[in-house]
Amino acid sequence: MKDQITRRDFLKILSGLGATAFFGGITGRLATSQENSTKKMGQQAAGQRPNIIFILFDAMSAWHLSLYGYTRKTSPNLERFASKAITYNQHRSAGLYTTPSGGSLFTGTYPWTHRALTYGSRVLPRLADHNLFRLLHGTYNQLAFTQNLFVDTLLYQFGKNIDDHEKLDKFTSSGKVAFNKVFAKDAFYGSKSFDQFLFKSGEVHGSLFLSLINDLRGEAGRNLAETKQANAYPYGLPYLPALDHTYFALSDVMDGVISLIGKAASPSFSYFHFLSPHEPYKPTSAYFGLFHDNWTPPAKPKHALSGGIPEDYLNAARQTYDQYVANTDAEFGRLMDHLEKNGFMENSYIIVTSDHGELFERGVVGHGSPLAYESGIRIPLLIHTPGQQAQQNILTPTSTVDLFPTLLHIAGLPIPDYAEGLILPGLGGPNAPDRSIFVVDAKENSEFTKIKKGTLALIKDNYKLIHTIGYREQYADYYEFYDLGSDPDEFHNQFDKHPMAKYLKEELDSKLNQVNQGYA
Amino acid sequence: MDTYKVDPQVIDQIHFGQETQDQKQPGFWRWLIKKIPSRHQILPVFSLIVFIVYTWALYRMAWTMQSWLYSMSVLDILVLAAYVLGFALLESLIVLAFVLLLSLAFPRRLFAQKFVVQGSATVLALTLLAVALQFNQAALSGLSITQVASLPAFFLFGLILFLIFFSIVTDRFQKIAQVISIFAERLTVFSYVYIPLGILSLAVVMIRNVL
Repeated sequence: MKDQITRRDFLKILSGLGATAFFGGITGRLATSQENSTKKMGQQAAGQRPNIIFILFDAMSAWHLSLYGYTRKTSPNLERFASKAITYNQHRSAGLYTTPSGGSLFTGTYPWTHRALTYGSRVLPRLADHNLFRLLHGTYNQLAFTQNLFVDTLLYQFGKNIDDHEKLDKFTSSGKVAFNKVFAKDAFYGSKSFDQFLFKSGEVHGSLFLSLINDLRGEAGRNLAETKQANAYPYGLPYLPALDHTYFALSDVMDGVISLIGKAASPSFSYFHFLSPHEPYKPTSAYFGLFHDNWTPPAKPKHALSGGIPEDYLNAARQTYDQYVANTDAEFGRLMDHLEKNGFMENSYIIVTSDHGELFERGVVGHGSPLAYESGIRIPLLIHTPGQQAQQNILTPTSTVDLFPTLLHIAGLPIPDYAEGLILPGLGGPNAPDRSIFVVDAKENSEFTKIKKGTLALIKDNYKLIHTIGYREQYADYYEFYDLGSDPDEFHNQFDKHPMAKYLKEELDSKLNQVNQGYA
Repeated sequence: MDTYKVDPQVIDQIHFGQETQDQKQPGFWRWLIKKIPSRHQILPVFSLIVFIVYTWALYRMAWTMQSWLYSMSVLDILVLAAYVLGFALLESLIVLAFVLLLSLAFPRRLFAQKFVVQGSATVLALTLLAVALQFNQAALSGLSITQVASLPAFFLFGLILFLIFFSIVTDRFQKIAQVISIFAERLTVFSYVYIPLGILSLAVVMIRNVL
């Protein structure tokens, strides 16, 4: 053993230390970089506001989800998500279709307040500042994407507060719309005039000549897009209703949305509104063969206000819808994989819901009728809190209007007085089973007058009152009362018999008088 | 003489073969000028186009008005009308360009020489076809790519047959030609309202989107 360190030994030691320092530094930098990258994608420093990812599937009825007990296995991935989320089992939309429900989601008020009642309309101009995006602005980086033209109309109304408003035809396979490019500064009028009047699909056009050439162009685009996707979509591609031949593949849209997640810097509020499973129901070939099980629910009598669609057609449409729901659920599974893999489940609130349901009963397919039965208004709501690992079930009735105060509460922001909902139970709100939930449909009523024609519903605990006004014959002023505890399928109208009916009637009538104040 | 600065009166003279030796143009331009109708001929045909396009747009606006009134203020509707009428002016110009293209493409005897009659008849025939398709939109949906690709050819073939047929008919029955000419000329009065309205509308749209 040497007693002294020679110069050679000293140099060896020095070089060893240097190498260690050098490579250690690189490794450290890589680790920091990766850590920072993860932080950018998902991790949050203590004390930062949480990211909020809001996912909405248009026209997804809770009644058609196996998550909520539906006979057909339509939602295994939503069930997977629910195992780590708060599941709201009695959640209802505020309206029967997108415009009023979307207005309620963004303003926290019922349709009879915000007055976006008719197809593609906006919230009353004097209430336009009463919106979620304005309240989150400056605190959250906001990104919004929707495939639904009616919601896009609302997003443009609130647009000055949205940092990144992605175009609704961003991920389509063919047929681009004009208004969001040519008239981006004046999108509402550009859309209303061009896409919803001069060139409106499926109706007599406002333009006599050029619209027909546009139709041919759209057909050519559709053919090309469907040829490319012939294997996946043998029965045709889904498209955006009321728009100019805008066809899309569900997987492309999901890929696009996945690429947008995390785009907004933290803290972020990202709103993603998928059109599916809204009609047209176009599942891919992998799902088209599902549910050929001859199962049908008990038939219900045809409603006088329905289109009188025969039962066998209803059953066929229901089957295709269920296939499309399963297809949509599978795509959601991919989204969930991405969220899990990239750390979003650890630092983000993730909300999955719908804007309204879909009917396949009483002579109605879809959501264009004035009928407010459960399949049309019960929608999913699942909320994953950061790091949540267990399912929590909430049975209290909740409403679309509750999401507004809940999101503000999550964001740590004050809730304005005009909000008509409550913070959701499970997230700090009260568990109030006997609170009143309203559903409002007045699609044939002017937004500037009293509500004189429409369908109103009041849900209180397990009781439900439906009031139809202004329609023909007996539906000029007609009440229906259902005990959903004993009659969930709403077979037996007990308005004349049930002791609770008159109390709900008084409350609903009083509310209608109240909201009609100030209107001629 | 600089052909790009030819006096409109000279163009008229060239049309009617009355140009003087000084006014004779090089071959191609002479051919072009003879094929393009004079402004006096273009105006009645353009007036007919404007009348049809604007009237259709106004009719559809009236049809949709009730639903618009449910959700929009009068000011909103006026802005929409500006978009619609501004577009109507552009559409009219495009249809006119198509008719002028026909004048260039077809033999002079068949089209350019009787531009008002043939142009008006073409526009009326296109209008009938367009209206029929508007109310039967199923005819233009669910088409295969072959059908989409072959439609323009069928259309052009039909147009050629129509023009030949109509030329023969108007040569034989001068009264028909006179009626069409008078009808088109009477419609110029609408142009004095519609065209300025269209220009104003376009200005509104441009201001709203630029400023």
